[in-house]
Amino acid sequence: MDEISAVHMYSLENFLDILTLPDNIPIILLITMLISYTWIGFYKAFNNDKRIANGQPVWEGEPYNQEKVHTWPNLLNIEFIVAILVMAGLTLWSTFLNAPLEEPANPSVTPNPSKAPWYFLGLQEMLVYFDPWIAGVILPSIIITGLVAIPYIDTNPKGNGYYCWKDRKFAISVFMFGWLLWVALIILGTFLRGPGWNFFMFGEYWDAHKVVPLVNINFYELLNIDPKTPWFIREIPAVALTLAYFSIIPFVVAKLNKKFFDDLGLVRYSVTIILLLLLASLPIKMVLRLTLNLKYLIVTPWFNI
Amino acid sequence: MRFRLFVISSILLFITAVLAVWKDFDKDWRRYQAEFNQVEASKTQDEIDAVKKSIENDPELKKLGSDLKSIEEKLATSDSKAKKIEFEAKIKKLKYDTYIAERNAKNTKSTIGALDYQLSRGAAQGSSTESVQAEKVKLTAEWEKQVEEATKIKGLLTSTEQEYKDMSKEYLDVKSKYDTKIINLDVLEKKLAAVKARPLDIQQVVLPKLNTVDRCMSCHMAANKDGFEDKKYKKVFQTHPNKELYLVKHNVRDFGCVSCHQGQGLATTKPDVAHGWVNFWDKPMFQGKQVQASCIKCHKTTDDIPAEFFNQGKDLVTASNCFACHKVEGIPAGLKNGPPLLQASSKLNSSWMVNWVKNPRHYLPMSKMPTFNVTDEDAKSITAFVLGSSDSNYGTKKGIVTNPNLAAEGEKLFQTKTCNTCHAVKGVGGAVGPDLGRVASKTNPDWLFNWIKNPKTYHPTTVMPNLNLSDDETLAIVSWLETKKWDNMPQHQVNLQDKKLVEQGKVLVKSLNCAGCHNIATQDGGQNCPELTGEAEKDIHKFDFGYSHLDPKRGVYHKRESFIYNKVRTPWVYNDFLKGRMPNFWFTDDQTNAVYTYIMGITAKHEEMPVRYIYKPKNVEESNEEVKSSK
Repeated sequence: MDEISAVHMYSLENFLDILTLPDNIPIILLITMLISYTWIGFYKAFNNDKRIANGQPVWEGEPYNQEKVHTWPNLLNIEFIVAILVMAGLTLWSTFLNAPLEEPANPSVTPNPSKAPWYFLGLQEMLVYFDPWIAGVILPSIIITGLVAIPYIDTNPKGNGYYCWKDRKFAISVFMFGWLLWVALIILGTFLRGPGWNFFMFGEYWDAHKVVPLVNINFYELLNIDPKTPWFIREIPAVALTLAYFSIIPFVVAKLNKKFFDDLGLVRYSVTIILLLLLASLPIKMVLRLTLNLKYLIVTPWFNI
Repeated sequence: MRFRLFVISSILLFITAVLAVWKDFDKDWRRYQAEFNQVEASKTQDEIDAVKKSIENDPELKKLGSDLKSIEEKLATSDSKAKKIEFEAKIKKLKYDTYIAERNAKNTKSTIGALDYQLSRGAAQGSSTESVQAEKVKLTAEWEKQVEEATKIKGLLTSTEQEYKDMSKEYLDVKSKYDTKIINLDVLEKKLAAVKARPLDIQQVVLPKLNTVDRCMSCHMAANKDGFEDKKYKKVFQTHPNKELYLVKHNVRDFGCVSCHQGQGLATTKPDVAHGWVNFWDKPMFQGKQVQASCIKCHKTTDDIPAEFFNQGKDLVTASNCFACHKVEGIPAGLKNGPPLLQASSKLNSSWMVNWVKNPRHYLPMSKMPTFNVTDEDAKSITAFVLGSSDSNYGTKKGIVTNPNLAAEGEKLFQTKTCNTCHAVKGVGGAVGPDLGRVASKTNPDWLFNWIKNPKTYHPTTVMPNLNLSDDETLAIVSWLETKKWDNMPQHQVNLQDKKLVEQGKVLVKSLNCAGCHNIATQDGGQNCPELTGEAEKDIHKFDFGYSHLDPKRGVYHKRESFIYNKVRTPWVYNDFLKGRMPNFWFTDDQTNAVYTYIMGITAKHEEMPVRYIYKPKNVEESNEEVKSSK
């Protein structure tokens, strides 16, 4: 950052400086791979949809794709070649890009920004919107449980062993939403969060002394409730709203889409819809933060949501 | 297809591996060292050429050479060879004979010793010793003969040997003369061969006690070599200046380089990296004379060592009274060295004072008082507070009326009473006291009169002496000084009764720490500015850069060194948005560098230096004894 000849608030140089930091190479690779794999997946899915519509077998089901060969040497030698190429790539990477080291560690001085490893940046970004124990403990646990629960929730036999879109619209959409949200949080944390974990636009100079107004307010303040009110009275509207979010929406969805409810059954439907609502709570909270400067919805002496 | 892919990827992997090894191998120190080896080889070659040239032009050496040749030829003839063999055989035989003769004499002597013993024992026991006595006499005679024989043979050997030596004496004489002439050349040629065969090698000094490994001399190969002092060599290949003092007295094997110069001693890739002029290296190398900041690491005082630059900085800091406001642990606080302002209103013209507070150099270019970053309004409020809170009742004589007719006499007295040795008037005169060329606009006749009569009553620690002038003389001088007005002095209206203005002034006087140097009523002063202890190692985020982090045009970088330098040189570069309190002392670049060196020296934490490095001056008695013994 120090090599910038003069400070421009916004410039391409600033953007390129941040983009080409050795720390950020994995993210560049991540974005490239994200785009290519998504494209490949959807290309194959749409292709198969067309084949099904025309009454043809799916591409994976064509006789020439059903042929079986031995793992050795057919698969293993490809893997071996890939291993060699990865090795060569890693060697080049470590040869020509120095490790992003900074000054000797000092226990009394925390670096600013103190960023998590790139794969945890999504979690760190979530800390901006939620209480640490929610963002750091509850939500990650729910993510893992939700992923574990998928085979029990999604019993749709279509799409097994081949790519398709039309037969699995809902499942693919939910997965893409959650996955892209996670990647977006990582990209946000890498390129848009600068010193002090402040938000910087692409190309903005990462000024360690940027002044950001701290004007976030809690939900009860939006409703003009006196903060001195006992918390269990003060939080009645927020708790009611949260309960409504988790109870009314499932009813409405079940009523509107009867087939969806019937297909899943009561238990699976409840689990699915609750997980979906939890997944949606993160973007909702982000939007509320950006529009209403909402800090916390529910504020109790022990935890905040 | 797969096989081809395999071959290609394997070749790629091989190439990357080679690249990785090459990248690790390809470092600047190798280039520097190779270049230096060339430089040294060509230097040695030049010396060889010079010696050869001088030999070529030496007629004596030519003659010696031809003599040597003719003698060698003479010695090589069969005649002289046979003679030589004959002599060698003779000497060999004589050596054997000498050995035998000496051995016989020795044996006889030891037998005599045994007889002596028998004699003494016989005497003690009272038995007859006559036969033994006779034996001894006989043997003694024999021994004497044998010694004589041995001496004779030995003399013969010596003379024969001498004869043999004499045979080749002429040859040896000429040879040794010839060798002395060309020995220099021989040494130089050996050196050249050694330089040419020298492998590239990391030159390092490992100092476990200092926890450093210095590889500086891997590039600076000549630092500890004589003969590269000349400026014609690249700076990196020059001998260390004053090597005798810096690398011999401070043995480089004990001190290394980094312990004084700082920098990244281990780095060998690029000069900037090795010098520590990179991001995140906490101790970048000192530039030029700044290295004197390190002397104080081991020397408790720098008065007795040639750290002139450091000492210049120390003098400047003392003169500028930096420690009146800034605290540094272990250094006494500065005293109030400005004139007291307890009775300022009896002395100062308020309009003059506003001008003075705004910029003392406007009135007095040599003023010791620095320029504070204050507006007109600020200066007025400070004036209002200082004058308003001071005592206007000073002096015993009041109502002095000056007489312009006495001015000429006053001017004469100014010279004869030696006032002009300390005070200049419009640039003419001494420079101890202030220039009085515009003094009439600063003060009034009453104050001047009382001041000249007895300066100590106003300013107890002033250096101005009481000259014991009579009232008439004083009046004459005052009358003359009263004619010295500041023409076109900017006029300011200050209302001393304006409570708001006075209150504002009080806040400013407190915040600018005026009382650090001046005695001001109701103000304590003291070191209330940022403490400088540990400044040389302070974390970068603890410096108050304001909003000026990076502005190369003004020399502003987000670096500790840049901050300290700028704060001394041009403190107001950090005032873009927030006003700093630090005044401008108008130091030149060189002075700033000296102050910087001093500050970096005294504010670094030096406890990491092991005890054995700390300089212990020999005590006085010891050195006296040394002097005595040397006499």
